[in-house]
This record gives sequence, C-alpha cells and structure tokens, in this order.
Amino acid sequence: MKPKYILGILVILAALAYMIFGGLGQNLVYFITPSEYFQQQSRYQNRPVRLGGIVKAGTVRYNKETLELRFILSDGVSEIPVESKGTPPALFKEKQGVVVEGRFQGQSFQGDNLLVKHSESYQAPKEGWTPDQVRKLIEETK
Amino acid sequence: MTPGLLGGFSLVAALLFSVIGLGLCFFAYFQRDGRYLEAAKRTSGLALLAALAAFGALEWALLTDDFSVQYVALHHSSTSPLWVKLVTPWAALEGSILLWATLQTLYTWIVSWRVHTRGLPGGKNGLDPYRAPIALGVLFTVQVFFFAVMVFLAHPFNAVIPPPTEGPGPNPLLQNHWMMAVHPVLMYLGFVGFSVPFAYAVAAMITRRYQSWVHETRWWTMIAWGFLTAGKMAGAWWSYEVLGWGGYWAWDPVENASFLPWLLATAFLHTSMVQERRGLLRSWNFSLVILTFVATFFMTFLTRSGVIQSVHAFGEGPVGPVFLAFLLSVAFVSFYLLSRVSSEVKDVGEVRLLSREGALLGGAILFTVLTFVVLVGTVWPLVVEALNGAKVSVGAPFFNQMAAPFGVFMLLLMGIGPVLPWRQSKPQVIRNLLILLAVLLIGTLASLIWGWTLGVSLAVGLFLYNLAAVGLMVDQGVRERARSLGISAARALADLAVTNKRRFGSHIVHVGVALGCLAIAFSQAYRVEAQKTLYIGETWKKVGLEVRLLDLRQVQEPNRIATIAVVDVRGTSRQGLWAEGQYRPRLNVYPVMNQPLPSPSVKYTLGNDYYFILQQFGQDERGLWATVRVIVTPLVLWLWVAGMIMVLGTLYILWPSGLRAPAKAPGGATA
Repeated sequence: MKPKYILGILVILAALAYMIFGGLGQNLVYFITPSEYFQQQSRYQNRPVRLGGIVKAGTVRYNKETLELRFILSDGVSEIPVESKGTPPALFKEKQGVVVEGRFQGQSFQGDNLLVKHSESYQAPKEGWTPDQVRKLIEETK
Repeated sequence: MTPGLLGGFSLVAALLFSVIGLGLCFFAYFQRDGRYLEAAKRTSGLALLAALAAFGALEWALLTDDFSVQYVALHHSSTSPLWVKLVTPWAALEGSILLWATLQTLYTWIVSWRVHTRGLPGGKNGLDPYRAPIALGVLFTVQVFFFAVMVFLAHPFNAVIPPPTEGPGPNPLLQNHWMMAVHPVLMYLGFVGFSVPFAYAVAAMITRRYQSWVHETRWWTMIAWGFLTAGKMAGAWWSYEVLGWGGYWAWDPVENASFLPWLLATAFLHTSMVQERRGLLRSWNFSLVILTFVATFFMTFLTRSGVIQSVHAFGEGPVGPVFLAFLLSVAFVSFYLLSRVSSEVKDVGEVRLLSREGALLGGAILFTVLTFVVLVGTVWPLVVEALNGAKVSVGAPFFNQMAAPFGVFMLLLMGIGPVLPWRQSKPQVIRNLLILLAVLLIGTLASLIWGWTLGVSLAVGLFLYNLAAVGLMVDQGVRERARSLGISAARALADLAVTNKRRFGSHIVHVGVALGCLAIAFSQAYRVEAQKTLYIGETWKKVGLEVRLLDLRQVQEPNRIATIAVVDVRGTSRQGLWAEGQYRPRLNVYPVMNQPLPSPSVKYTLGNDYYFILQQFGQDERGLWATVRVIVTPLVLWLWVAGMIMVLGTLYILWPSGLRAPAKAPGGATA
C-alpha cells in the first residue's frame, strides 16, 4: 500500500479517536424505562438520560406560580417520581406516553425537557402492560 | 375514471417507460445505433408525462376528498384549507416518493435535450452518442427504482374498502406553517439535481473521458446546491416558527442526514473548480459526486426505516431497507468503476499548499471530515445498540463541540482562498494576507474588549476578515481594469460584475456564509429566556421587557381550535429595543391529536428576535391565567438574510447572460 493511503487511514482513525474520546462518550444520552433504571441504578446517576414511560393517572401536579410540574412516570411495573422545571408544553395528559430528558438526583428524576409522544396512530395503553410493551409503544410512536 | 385508477395506471406506465428507456440505452450503447438513443430520448418524455399524470391523480384525489384512496384516507381531511390539501402529497411517505420520482423524470427529460444522437456533439455541452446512453441509462435506472418502490412496496393509490367518510388530515406539525409547503420540494429539487452530475460521472468513468463532465454539469451542481441550501434554510425557519423552542437546528438525525449531501456537495463544488481550471483532483471529484448522490438516499433510509428516532420519522416499513440496498449497490458499482480506472484518473500535476487550488483542496478536506464526523455521530446510536443493546442518542453538545472548530477553519480558508492565485503564490499576495490577518486580529481583539465571549469575538473577527477579503479582491480587479482600459471605476465594476459572474456570485455566497456564521455565533451565545404565569391585566418585567397579558380568547377554525393569548409588550432597556407591540402566541388543538400544538408569536428585528410562546392556560378563583414564555435571541433575522444572500449569489452565477466570458481551456487537461 502506498504511504498516501496509509496516511489517509491514519487521519481517519485519529479523527475517530478524537471524536470518541473527546465527547462522544459523555454526550451519549441513554434511553431507558423506569424498570431498566432500577436494574442498574448506579450506571444512570448524574448523567443525561431520556426516561420514557406512561404518565400515571391522577399524579400530575402543576404549580403555576413556581412553574413546577410533578408526576409519576410508570412503565406498568416500576414507577419514578419526576420533577420537571418549566411548564409542560401544555400538551400533557394523563396516561400518555412521554419521554423526559434530564438526570436522576436521588430518588427522583429532574427533567429539563419533556417530549410528548404524539402521532395519528397513538393509542393510550390499556391496563396491565409490561415494560417491554410500553417501551415498544413509545419507540414506535414518534 | 377515478383518481385511484388513473394514478395506479400512470405509475405502471411510468415504470414501464423507465424500463423501456433503460433497455433502449443498453441497445444504443452496445449496438452504437443512434436510433435507439433517439427512442430513449422520447421515452424520457413519456415517463415524465406518466409521472405527472400520477402526481396529478394524487392531487385530484386530495382536492375531491376521495377517501377510497388509502393515502388520502390516512393523511387528508376534507376540512383542511386549500393550501394544505395541495401540499399533502409530500406530507407522508408514499406521496413524498411520488414527488421525488416525478422530479427525477423531469430532470431526466431535461438532460435528454442535450443528447446528440449522431456524430460528434454539436453545440455547447452536448452529450455525444458515446456517453449519452450511459448517462441517460443511469437516470432511467434511478427512475426504475423509484417507480418499482411505489408499484410494489409503497403504493400511493392503494384502495380502502369501504372508504371512510372523513380522514385525520396530515400531521398537524405540517399544517401549522406554510413553510412546510416549500421546504420538502426544495430539498427534493436539490437531491434529484445531484443525479445528473452523478450520471455524467458514471459515463465519464465508463467511456474513460475524465475531464469534461465536471464542466458540463457545473450548472446542475450549482442548481442542486442552491435548492438544497434554500431547502435547509426553509427547514430551519420552519423549525424556528413551529416547534416552539426558539431554535433552528437541533442536530436531529434527519437534519444531520440531509446535511451530509449538502456538505459533500459543497466540497464537490470547490474541487470541481480545480479540475475545470487545472485538470487536477479528478479522483476527488468522482468520489465526491458518488458520495453526494449516495448521501441523498441515506437520508431516506434513515427516516423510513425506523432505525432512528426523529421528528421527521414516518414510521417503519420495508422502504428503508430497500433504500439501503439501493444506495449500497450504487456505491459499490460506482466505486468499482472508479477503481477500474484509478491509474488513469491519477493527477498529473501537483497542488501547492499556498495556492488557490491548495485552499480549495483544504476546504474540500474540511467538508469531508465534517461529513464523516456528523455521519459517525448520527449512526453512533446504532453502533451502541448493536454492541450492548442500549438505546442511546447523541446529544447536540457533541455536534456543537465538533462543528465550532470546523467553522473557524472554514471561515479562515474561505477568506484567503479566493485571494490566492492559481498555481503558486506571488509576492503581492503576502501583503494582502497580512492585511487580512490584521483585520482578523483587530476585529477579534476589539470584540473581546467590548465584552463579547471568545467564540462570538472570533466570529466577528472572521466576519470582518471575510468582508475585507472580498473588498480587497473586488477593489484590485476594478483598479486593474480601470487603469488598463482607461475607464471609470464604476464602469469597471459593472463590467466585471457582468463578465465574471461566477467569481462575483461566489463572493456574494461567501459573504452570506460569513454573515450566517456570525448570526449563529450571536444567537447561540446570547439567547435569554424567562417564563411566568400571568393573570389577565398582570404586568411582568423581565429580560428588558414589560409584558402585560391583555386577554385570552378561544377561536374556532375549520381544522382546529385555537387559544390565543394577547400580550402587550414594551421595552424597558436596550435589550427590549424594538420589542414594542402586541404578540399573539397561540395553542392550536387539532382534533386528530390528543394535545395542543403551540404556535409562537415572533417579532423579527434587526437586533433581537422576540419570541413568545403560550405554554399553558387555565382558570381559577382569581380569573383566567396563562403561562407565557419569552425568548430573546440576537441576530436570528440575519441567518435568514444570510440564507437569502447565499441563494441570490447562486442565482447570480446561474443567471444566463450574453456577455459571459469565453470558457477557458482547462490547463493540463487530457480529456
């Protein structure tokens, strides 16, 4: 092989290494459900996470003075209390699939950004769903 | 005759004509017979007519609310406004592919005008009978692919039995802003445009005539690049106006995927000039045009396969893998053809670092590396999932961190590149470089002293540096011409602007790019936001504004119910300059969605943009209340201006004129 090509490959490898060590790892945002969190709690502490699940009925509390939103996110088996700074994007309903971007702090989840899963084909899950089904539902309704 | 019948029939006809056209190209190539080529030319016209009939049939079905067509039943509602009905063909998968395919038949037909069926090419940029069957054949192959996908996998005219009486309408995000009518069309016009240089390149590799294709397709490249730039700007603007987060670029996987062909095309645009002028970088040009073309399909694979989460994703289906298979085969065949002739396309001259071609090559390398970085970041979640099964996404900070240094290098090269002469540096150039360097340093330092952040100061310095570079070049050209011809400076400027449109146009585009980078730097660094719940009549002072909630009202519209907050705003400090006025942010509820969609109210000013969003509303014992969020972002307006300048510069280059300078013979060419 000619030195030119070897040089080219080295440059590409160096660029790849720079990316991987220089930020790709830290900027990976895991997408998990509450059950998956409880399986490996330490892994997800204090790093950005996207937590997906269904908003549990009767748990949504919105304080319009402090703009704090609290609710319980469930995947049918495990539940996690979520506190979200800022308003929900008004578009927030119980029993709805949501993805919250944020971090775990202690036992609750601090959300920065809340994405509601909406689509024409969206259907609210029935009772008794498994975490896998919830996860699939959330992934499929984009 | 029903729309479904006409559509289904036309699709099959378009597929047949494309297959026949491809077959005729084969015969024309192997039999060396111009009559086959003549027939292939005619077939491209027939395929266009069939495609237009199919597209017309879809519009017909939408406009007459024909819910027996599945696409209409799933993505249309009889209550939508007329413009929404007209743009619904590209609101979902099948219609988008139909639009794409129709544009492809249009471009193939236009290419066929250039084909000469006998003898050597007459006229300018003609396609001779040796290359024409291959170039047309490549375009017919692409058409066959699209129409086969529609006929066999994603048929826009599948019937529903029994037909429903009403449909849900297109995705509300698409109905919320008229920009959605133009963004996809512009993108597809750009994507399809790259098929033409690609087809010429394949013909060049097979017939072993490596030089002329770049020159012959430069207009196509410019047109496609212009459309893609306009399309990306329209998409960013739509995101800003509709998604209600006050941003314009989120490094969403599909944004990234459509960024890749733009980056590669930009690299190709620049290396192709080196080949035109000096006959160098030929293997670069072949590789870049192949990659650009392949990248246009990559985006469709990502959006349609469901492998990646994105606001653009239309859901899973068999279409994604088929696109992946197609793009991989195209890449494999093309690079095989290139490897076959690699020893012949090798460059005969050398590229010096400090020369025009050196800077152009440097720019191309920069764009290619960024393409690679964005590609890796975009598909990294797939790699992680394959390795340990975890679902991850790559955050925007990674891309920002990677793109910022790239932007600095790009702006540096963009300034000096056009100042450097071809082949090798001359002494007087050193003086110009020193002037530019001084402008850069002074601009950056002055901005730092003024108190701006390092990134913003650098952006200001680089902006001034680029303006100075363009100023220097125009000034020198004008002086020389005025002196040698003894005419006034204004006259010389007008002459140059007409005779050297390509150079002037590129100056315009470059000023647009520098301005855009400045706007991005300021809007990223100095954005402020605040939010509060207000009762009617209540006043709130924050971020230099005095905000007063006047009213909260509900309006019933044909396709939606809107809640509108009427907000009165006055500026109380410099930050609130020009903010004065009434804002009406709204929440639109579309019956098909189970939650409302915010529609922000934005005031664009030359300084700050004032962006109001209605977040939440309700009523309690104190009365009606609304949670209002305000985002103040500087210089966003200039990003749209920059986009328009870039497109205008491209148009300026493309604008036909009788005074065009005679084409220069490519130096060192062995065509």
